Amino acid sequence: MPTIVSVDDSTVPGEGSSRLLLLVSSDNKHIVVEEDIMSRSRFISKQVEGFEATSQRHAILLPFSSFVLNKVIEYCSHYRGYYLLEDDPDAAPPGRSPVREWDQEFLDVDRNMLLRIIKAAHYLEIKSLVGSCARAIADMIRGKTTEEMREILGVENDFTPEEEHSPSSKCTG
Amino acid sequence: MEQKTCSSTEYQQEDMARLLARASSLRRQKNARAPALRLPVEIVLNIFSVFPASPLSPHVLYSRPPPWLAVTHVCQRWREISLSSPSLWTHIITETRHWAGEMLIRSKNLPIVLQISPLGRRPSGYKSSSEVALSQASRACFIDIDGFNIWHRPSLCVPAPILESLYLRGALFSPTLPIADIFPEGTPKLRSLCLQGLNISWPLHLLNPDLVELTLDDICEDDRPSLLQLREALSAMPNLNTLSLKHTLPLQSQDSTPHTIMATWEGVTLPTLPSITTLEVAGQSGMEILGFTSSFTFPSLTSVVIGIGWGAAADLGRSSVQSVIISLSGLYRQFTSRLSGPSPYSFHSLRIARDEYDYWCMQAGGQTSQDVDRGCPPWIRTHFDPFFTVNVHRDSPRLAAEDLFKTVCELLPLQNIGTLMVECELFTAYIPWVEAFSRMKDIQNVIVRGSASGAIIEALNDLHAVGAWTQHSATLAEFVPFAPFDNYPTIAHDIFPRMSHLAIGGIDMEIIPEVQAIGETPISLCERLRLALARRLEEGNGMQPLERLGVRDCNITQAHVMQLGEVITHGAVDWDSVQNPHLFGLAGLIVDTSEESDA
Repeated sequence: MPTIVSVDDSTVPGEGSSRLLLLVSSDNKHIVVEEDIMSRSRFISKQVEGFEATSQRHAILLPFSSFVLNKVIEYCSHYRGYYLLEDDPDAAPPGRSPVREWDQEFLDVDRNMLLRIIKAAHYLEIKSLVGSCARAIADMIRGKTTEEMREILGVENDFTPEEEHSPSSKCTG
Repeated sequence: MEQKTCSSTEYQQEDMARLLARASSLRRQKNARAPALRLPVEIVLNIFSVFPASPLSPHVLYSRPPPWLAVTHVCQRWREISLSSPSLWTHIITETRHWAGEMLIRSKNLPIVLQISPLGRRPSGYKSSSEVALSQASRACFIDIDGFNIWHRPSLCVPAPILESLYLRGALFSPTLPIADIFPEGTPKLRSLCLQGLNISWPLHLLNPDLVELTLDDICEDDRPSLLQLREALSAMPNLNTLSLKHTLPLQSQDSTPHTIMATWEGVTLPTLPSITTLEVAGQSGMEILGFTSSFTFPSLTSVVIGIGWGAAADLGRSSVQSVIISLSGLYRQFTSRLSGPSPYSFHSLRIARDEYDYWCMQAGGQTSQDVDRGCPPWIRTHFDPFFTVNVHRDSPRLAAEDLFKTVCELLPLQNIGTLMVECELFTAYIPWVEAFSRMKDIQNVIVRGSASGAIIEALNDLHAVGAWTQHSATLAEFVPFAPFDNYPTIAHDIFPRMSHLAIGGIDMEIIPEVQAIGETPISLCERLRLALARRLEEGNGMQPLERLGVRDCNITQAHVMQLGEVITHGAVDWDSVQNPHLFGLAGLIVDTSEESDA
């Protein structure tokens, strides 16, 4: 669960229609972002709903670095105002979904960064970003041998010989 | 001594097993810190679920075993996650008994997808694995059986409470099978039904009011519904959005005439199908289709595919239907059938297209899509309402195409065609264009994509050479061909005296063609075009200056673009912003060299 702290008005500028949020990353960077941009995050939306019940203004502490958070904000900014099926399955589409080729370029990062982004997206409940990251990871290992997959993912073969050749594993590939 | 050796070996083996287990344990500990293995289970499942999707293999069903299974060998954690996630195992692999049984267990009680095909299978293995897979048919939400056989039937005589899609295709070269006893308790959730090559009893018990997609194909003559039965069946399915009837409508006797066939349908009013978006009728004579399609009402945006029967298509063309698409193979059969003679119908436009008609259907229907934005000039839309399309599939037989196009030109009512659009590279050389153009008295627009423009330009040149093009040239306003320009290095300016718009694209305008007319000064394509347009501007004599010129994706200097701008009336070349650059782009006009030499 995120830690919610009270902040004074000067920390979070903005009022009314262009409300601003203060997001605090794990490396204690304060990032001010328009609420509208982050509305794609169900987690943030729920937090904001909670704020409205109180008169206080809040900052949202998030358990990932500012570098990752900025990437997520970049994604949300790019798709601001767009309808994405994963995020708004019940909403009537006001227009076309944008071409998702942009995602491929956006996610052209190293493995560890990609894993951090997908975890952050999962935490923030941004389904479209989780889906794009999952596709990117799947693309990384598609068509590879098991050994190559392990190398790409940075994992070891931790099966015992018996597990590797057990009858049940015959149906696992 | 021997006993001691044995003990020593056993000890060593035990020791080795302990070490391997220890190594495995250490690797597991190390993996626990690996970022990839610290992902939440939901994320890992998300990765697994999209793993099979790829441009080449978009669906797991076409690749067995599914490629994502390889991930279960990566490490213990991923194997545990996959084996404990029933949703990953619901597309039952039916190729082997073992796989089928294993996946039925792993999918637990989730709805399953069964796709069974004898393709590349031994009959015994096919039967054996099919029986295992279908042993839990009542759990299926999707069943697709290709080569439906008599031993499939008992497995389908079960309740089908969640079945949403059912596709049954009879086995080739086998007696057709009745299906009256399958799913005897009905299929309350069924939304898509496709039956092909089977014995069907009417009323068909598998139909239900919520069905949205119905395909009936290759129904033997004795099983075809009467007009009354068809009307009742369609009346009971108001939500249908896709209806495909191939070799399904009642047949007329061989000695019947168009008049008697139409008389059969008179007074038969089929229901309105308010939701239908795609209607396909094939495997019938033209008049049978005409009788059917003219007997019921459907929305004007319906995309209609007629396998046989341009006569029916013509009638639809007169109604408010936006597009009529006729497949080449269907046309071929139609034209070799009994219907012949002059047509009472007329078309305003003819399009010979590849099988990418969705784009145009959407365009004609005014709907938005990603594809539409690729650019269809609004002026084209006005010419294609309604339009007649001959749709050429890539697998169309060559000889059939040759015969077809000859017959098309003989039988199609070309006299009222105002817009001709040819965007198919294949087969169009077979079209007797000279004859076709001679019959197009009201031709206004010629739009050509691909190498077809070669044949068309040659035909127009021939017509012009003998003075036969004169009567048309007064009305031809636009010519937007797409061709390898250097194959047509000369530019006619008098074949299209009223041409107002010209688009050029995808060529090297600065190149000097190697092939030149005798005595001709080698000049670049750009300069050749400029000279031709300049003559239009200066000479008059019935020639109208070009109003608009688009240049896109060409190798051309800005200076030359400016020069071209000086020889068109509006003065500005639409450079790299022509409305539909990549679809319609290239000038392939030819010059009347005799006039040049006279000059």
